[in-house]
Amino acid sequence: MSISGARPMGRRDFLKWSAAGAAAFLGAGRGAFAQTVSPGEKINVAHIGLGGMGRSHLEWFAAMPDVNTVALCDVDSEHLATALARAQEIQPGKDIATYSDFRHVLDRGDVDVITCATPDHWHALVTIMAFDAGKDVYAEKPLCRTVAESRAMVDARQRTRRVFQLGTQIHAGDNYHRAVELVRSGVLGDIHTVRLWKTGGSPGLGYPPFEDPPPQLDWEMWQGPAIRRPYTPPRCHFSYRYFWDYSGGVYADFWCHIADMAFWSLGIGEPIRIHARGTTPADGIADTPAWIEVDYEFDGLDLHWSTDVPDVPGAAGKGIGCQFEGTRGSMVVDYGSRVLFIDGEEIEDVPDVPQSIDRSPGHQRNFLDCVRSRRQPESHLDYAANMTLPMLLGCISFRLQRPLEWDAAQGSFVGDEAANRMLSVPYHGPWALPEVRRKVAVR
Amino acid sequence: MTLAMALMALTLAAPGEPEFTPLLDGESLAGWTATGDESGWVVEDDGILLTVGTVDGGWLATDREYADFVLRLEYMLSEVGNSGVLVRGMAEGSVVTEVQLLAPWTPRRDDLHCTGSLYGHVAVDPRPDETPLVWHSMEITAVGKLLTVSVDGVEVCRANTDEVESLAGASLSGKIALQSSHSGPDEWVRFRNIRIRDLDAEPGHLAYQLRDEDPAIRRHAQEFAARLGTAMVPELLRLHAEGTPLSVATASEALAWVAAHATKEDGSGGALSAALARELAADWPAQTRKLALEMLAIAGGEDAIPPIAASMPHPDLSFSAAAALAAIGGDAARSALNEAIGGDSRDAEIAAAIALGSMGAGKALG
Repeated sequence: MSISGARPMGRRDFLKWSAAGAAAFLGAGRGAFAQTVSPGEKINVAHIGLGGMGRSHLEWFAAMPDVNTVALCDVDSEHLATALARAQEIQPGKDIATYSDFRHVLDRGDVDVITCATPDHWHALVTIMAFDAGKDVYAEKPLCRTVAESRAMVDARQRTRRVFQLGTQIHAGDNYHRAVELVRSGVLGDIHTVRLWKTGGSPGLGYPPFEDPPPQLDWEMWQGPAIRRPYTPPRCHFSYRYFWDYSGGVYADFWCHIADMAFWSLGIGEPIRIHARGTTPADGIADTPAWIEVDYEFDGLDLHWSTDVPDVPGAAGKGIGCQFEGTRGSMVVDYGSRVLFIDGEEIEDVPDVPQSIDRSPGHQRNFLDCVRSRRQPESHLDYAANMTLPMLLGCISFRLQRPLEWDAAQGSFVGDEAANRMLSVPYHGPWALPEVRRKVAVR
Repeated sequence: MTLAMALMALTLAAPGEPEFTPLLDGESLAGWTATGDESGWVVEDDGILLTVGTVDGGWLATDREYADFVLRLEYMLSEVGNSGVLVRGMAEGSVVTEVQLLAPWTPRRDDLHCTGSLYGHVAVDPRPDETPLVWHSMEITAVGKLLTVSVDGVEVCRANTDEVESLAGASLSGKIALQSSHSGPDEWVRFRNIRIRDLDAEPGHLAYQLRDEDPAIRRHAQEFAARLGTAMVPELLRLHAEGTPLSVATASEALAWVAAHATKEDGSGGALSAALARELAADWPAQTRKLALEMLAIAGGEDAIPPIAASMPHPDLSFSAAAALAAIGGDAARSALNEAIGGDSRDAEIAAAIALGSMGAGKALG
């Protein structure tokens, strides 16, 4: 794809990435940049990954008055062309570069922010490399695919001091903010049980033939760090989420949106015990759950995930939800609504509980404000990593078909070597996850 | 190969019955539990099992469940005897698959309810000999959705549970149970030589079922393959090596479950590691050896390091092999990775460098 225009590199240091050789990507830390966008300046945004969510990113960010959309990147030239046409509609007459290799985006000193809407298996590396290139990142959920990736992302962000927002845009709404206030106020008492659910599991996808990848798709680059597989259309573009190689099914896809509610309200730590049960589709190549139930034991809290709607007050008819059960009442929250059951009454709010949490100006706006202020946005990386960890551990329990015990201090499972090996999935070259220098190692 | 031919192969292949296991120990009811009064079941001196007409013993059911099997037994009915053999019973769902045992009654029972019928579901054709007070032999075969009944060496009844409306939803597994005689106080039935060939304990049978058109059958076979464990490895690799999307997906999933079960019992580096290491050195296509390497990343031990290292130079296998070595860890794995650096294969070099980096022992490429 064309690399259009030579942009001035005046504001930022310039990083050169070599095109080949693994050593280049071992991430020895390229130093933090004291980067700020001056108040009068627009924020230059590039979008990496232009499928469905990527095009939403384009719309959301281009609508901001203080944003310049400067570059688009995708490994599918048709996706790229579609996105470019739309970007040119939104920003007529503006110069928008297109790339097929995200490293060229990161090479550009004038790019301040990238958004990442690649498939899950690319989230970690795109984010970390963007941090190392001095960019702030707005990235889609799930955060990443493995615990090792999560740690590397947290480490990279701390080292480079960049701003990160996880794309859990429901978080920004008034409903979630209010629900958090209500839980924290104590009107439900002490919360002892949380139930999370999202109905629906992986479809089987049948057994389509292996094919040559279509000419517009760079299948090698699309796979990136993932294990190499023969191409077949369902492995790519949306239904990739039904394969462990790239994602974690509906469970991984929706966990972050709804677990957000629980983790934000309660400040939950790391799980002690994880027990997943379920099965995969019997009639196709998809290998992520057709249904899955996970029981988590945290210190002082039981948390359950299900693909079925639980039989608790307020849950009926809700395809996704979070139920808090406390000593004084219960509440069910979904994206746009909440219902509380206190002292036999069914209510939507407790007006006596004051507003204590600043409302968000919008998830993307919150992120951009933090790009300017260098504060942490609402769904920042440390929070996202903590919230995502139980889901990643649940995937391992599901795949090994047994309960597991987690030692948070060690950062590993107790007495289960196979499970510990699954905390990290080795990358296919030339890609490599940077080494994390910290006291507690993954293995 | 059609199912009928497969079944014939099963029957012909067993001279002297080495694959069969007796279900009665000849002295007790060990392995069986009565749903009714246990005193209704008596083990006689010569190891024969007798039902006592005056006591309702209910069903005498095996403690464990069976899915695909060949059951052989002998029975003798009193002059007005009534009993049956329940197969895949006491499982979820309400379909009862009972093979009837009946002495001639007045009025004469029809073919849907006489000896050898799948009682109430499928009639016999031909009608077997129902002479009381003599020993008869019976064989019941259950393979996937196909049930067949033979009496005295003649096939008398067969049913595909998908094709018989009243059998829709019949369980693919369950207990085997004998019905206590409920004809009257002086009536009885005797059983002897009850023995079974548990097909789901045989890799070859599971390999056959894994290739079935019916996803429910394949899924069932995958579950049994996981339990059978390491013994299934060669068959699963053979299935994978067929290279079709169906065979690759079915085999990969089954092997992942084998690894899940095996690592629960043995941890990593146990019998599964040895089996995979053996197969890695065999002549499988590269994509199949890659599957073995993926499993070794989870289940492999130090014994597997040499064949894994030997796979590194293959361009399709370098990264999977290096990943397996990194997962196994330790000095021997590090040595193997270091040896690849500076070796002849550029693919192996790059893979080894990345793997070593992930182990926290980065080494610069030359």
